[in-house]
Order: sequence, then structure tokens, then C-alpha cells
Amino acid sequence: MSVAIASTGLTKFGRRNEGLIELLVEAGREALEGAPASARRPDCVVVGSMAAGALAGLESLVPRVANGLGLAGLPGWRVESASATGAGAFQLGAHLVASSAFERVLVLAGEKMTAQATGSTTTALARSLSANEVRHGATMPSMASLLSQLYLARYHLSIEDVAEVTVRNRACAQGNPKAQFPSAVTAAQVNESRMVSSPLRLLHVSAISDGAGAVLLTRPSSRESVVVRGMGQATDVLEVASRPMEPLGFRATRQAARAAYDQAGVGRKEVQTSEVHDAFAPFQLIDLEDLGFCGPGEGLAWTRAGRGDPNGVLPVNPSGGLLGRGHPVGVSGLAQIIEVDRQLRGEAGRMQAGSPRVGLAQSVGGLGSHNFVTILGREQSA
Amino acid sequence: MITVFVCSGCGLHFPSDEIRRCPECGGTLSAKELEGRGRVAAATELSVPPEGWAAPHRLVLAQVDGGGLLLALATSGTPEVGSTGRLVRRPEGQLSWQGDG
Repeated sequence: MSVAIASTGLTKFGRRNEGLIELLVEAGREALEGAPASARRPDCVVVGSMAAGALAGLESLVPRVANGLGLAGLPGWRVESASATGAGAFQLGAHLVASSAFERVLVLAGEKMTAQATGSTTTALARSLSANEVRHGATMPSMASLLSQLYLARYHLSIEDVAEVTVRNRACAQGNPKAQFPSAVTAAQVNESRMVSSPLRLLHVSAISDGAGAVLLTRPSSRESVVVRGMGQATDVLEVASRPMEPLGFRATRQAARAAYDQAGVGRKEVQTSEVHDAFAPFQLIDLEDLGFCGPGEGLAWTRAGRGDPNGVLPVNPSGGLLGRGHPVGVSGLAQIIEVDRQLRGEAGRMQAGSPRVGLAQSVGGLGSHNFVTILGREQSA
Repeated sequence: MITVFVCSGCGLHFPSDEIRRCPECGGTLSAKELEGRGRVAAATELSVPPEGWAAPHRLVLAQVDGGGLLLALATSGTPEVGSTGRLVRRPEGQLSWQGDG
């Protein structure tokens, strides 16, 4: 694809005093101010938010953001793909540039989650589940718990084993100035944290958070830049219990990954850095398997062997992931892409893990019903 | 007895026919009566339920004989994984798990 990332912006995640639009504008301004002078005026805007109406009391985000950035008059679209919204917004923006419909597309994603009580937020997030699941009072954590139990039972793992994921990701988050939780935790702390949806505990679950991100997409210049090499996405049957379950994991991730690898012309062994969707700690193990980083049931052993560590063969979530960074649901997919971009540029600061030239971001929408994979590369354009 | 809906094309099972067509292949769904007996494949107790539900809120995924996995409420404690019982349909439309013994 002939699409390059000109610049990015990312707010600090966590409980923020600002409203949704202020957060989006903060991220958008950082991206525009970081762009080459010739690219600072986008000709289109794409705005992602999963639940702005329910969580922030706002709709009609595109004109609000365009107004806030002093860009009234811009055309634009809003994107919603549950917890993969940010990835969906990015991919739409990339398609708009690749198709030559627009030259410079500013992609933004934001979520304001902390203004509501936890029960209200949980209810709003559950609207991405099937009607039958909602009728039973299911929520994202409860469905994640049930699916995680199937995974753990299949591969004879215990929930205590999974603390490894949180411990590792929180250690990485210590180097991330934008992270909600830039502090280490021990396995004992994970396994003794309060129960959210048994057996998932608080420190197995990514946190409700506020934040925003922005990416300015352009055509590649003649100098070396970070470009979009491949993208894939897929949907799945909404009702989790009705899906084909073999192999156990997210079929939509596997389909998205296949499409992205094919378009990028790379195999999984050429990926040198990654951000994967660890909204719930067991999901990171499932993600590793769905992406082909390891075989079915090998996610924990692969992790324990250090293969995904910052100095491992394929760093996974060197930013701290959703568990460390926080999970403002509509933003995380875009934040992952921004983190991969910064790794490829060598601008990740204390998070920098080697000198990667190919990176992958994977995002799960809802309970795996709309998933995205995006592959970026650092290369010289023709 | 409980009614589930089976796709004529791909054989997937669904807990209701409100989706009208199979989301996997577009096939038509036909009703299938099941005794509802099965085994708990997973169970959870949620500490912060969504609005309109009281805590603790419990759910199970039941592996139903002849009917695949089905989501159900668990109203009498959190059942052990592997325990047996049966599903019944509540007037409100949800399935409810009743453990043996």
C-alpha cells in the first residue's frame, strides 16, 4: 500500500479531567504539530469512538473534532468497531489515502469512560455482545471469563499461570510515560487482587480509562518512512457459544492476520515488534497463537521462554499493552499502531526494543466479533 | 425440554431464532427439541453486574447433549466445571442451569 504515517499524537491514559473532544483535540494537535509543514492541513478526518453517546453524552463527533482543531469544512467519517474501533478508523483512513480519494487523512480515536459509574460503563460495553448474551446479563468480563476457562481447560493451564502476562506487561509499562499503570506488580499481587468475574481478577483485566490518539496519514515521501504494508480484518458470529470453536481462539484474528500477512508479503517470522490485544490477560496467549507466533496451546510456554520480552525474538507489548497502558476502548487499536510506529522509528524511549523494521498491531472488537491486524514497515519508498 | 435452532447448511446451533438466518452461512434455522441435559463447561460469578441485575450474577456455559454450548443463568450458586444438570427455559426467555443433586 502507498500509505505512510507522517506523524502521531497520543494523550496520557487514565482518569482525565478533560472531556472527550478535548482529549481528541489534544491528540490531533500533537499529530499536526509533529507533521512536516507541507502536510499539516489534512483534507479529511476519520474519528473513532466506541460509545461516545453512552459514555460521554456526545454524538456528531466529526464536526466537533474538526471545529476543535480549527478545521471546520473538512469532510470526514466516524467509525465504530467496539473495542477495535481505533484499528478500524486507522484502516479506513489508510484505504482513503491508498485509493487516492484524499492525500492527507487525520485519523483520531478517543474514549471518555470514567465519567460514568462502573455499572453504567459495563452495561454500555456489553452492547457489543449478542442479544441473547445481553438478555442473560452477560458483560465483557463475564464472557471473557467463560471463554478463558475453555482455553485454560483445553491446555491444562491454571488461572494462576496467567499472572505471568500481567506481570510482564506491567513491567514494560514502567517505561511508558502515557501508561495508566507505570508500575510493576508481582504474580502474588495479581492472584490476590479482587475478583471481577471468577476466575478473572482485577489485575487480569485492563482498566476503564480515558484517552485519545491521532495519526496523520499521507502518501510516502522519497525518504525513509513508516508505511502501511498490510491490513486485514474479519467479523465472526456474535454469539460466542455458537461459533465454531476449533481451534480455540478468535477466528476473526486468524482471518485478519492471514489477509494482513498476504498483503504485506511477510511471514510471522519477519515481524520484529508487536502490540496485541490483552484486554484480559488470557487473551494475550490466545492472540499469540492466532497470529501464528506460536502453536495452539503454546502461548504460555512461549511467553515464559522470554520470546516476547523486549529483548526476545519478537517483542510483544513493549508499551505495556492494554493491561499497562489502560484501555479506553475506542482508542486502544490506534494506540497500538502508534506504539508500533514509534518502535519502528526508534523513538520509543525507554520502551524501545531493538531496531525493528516490521511491526504488527492486533485488535479485538467485542468478544472477538470484529478483529483487525495491521502490519507496518520502515522502508524507503520508490 | 428446551428448543434450540440448528442451521440446515452448516449445523451450528443457536439459542434463539431471532437472528432468522445463520450468521455463518446464511442457511435457514430449524427448531430442535433437546432434553437439555448436559455438563458445565465454564462458570463465572460477576461482582459488578450490568444495570438491572443483582450481584453476584452467575453465568454458565453448558455443553448440552446433542446441542453444543449454550449460555445460561446459574441461580443456585456457582456450579463446578464438569458437574451435570439440565437447562430450562425461563418465561423471560433466558436459559437457566439446574444442577443435579
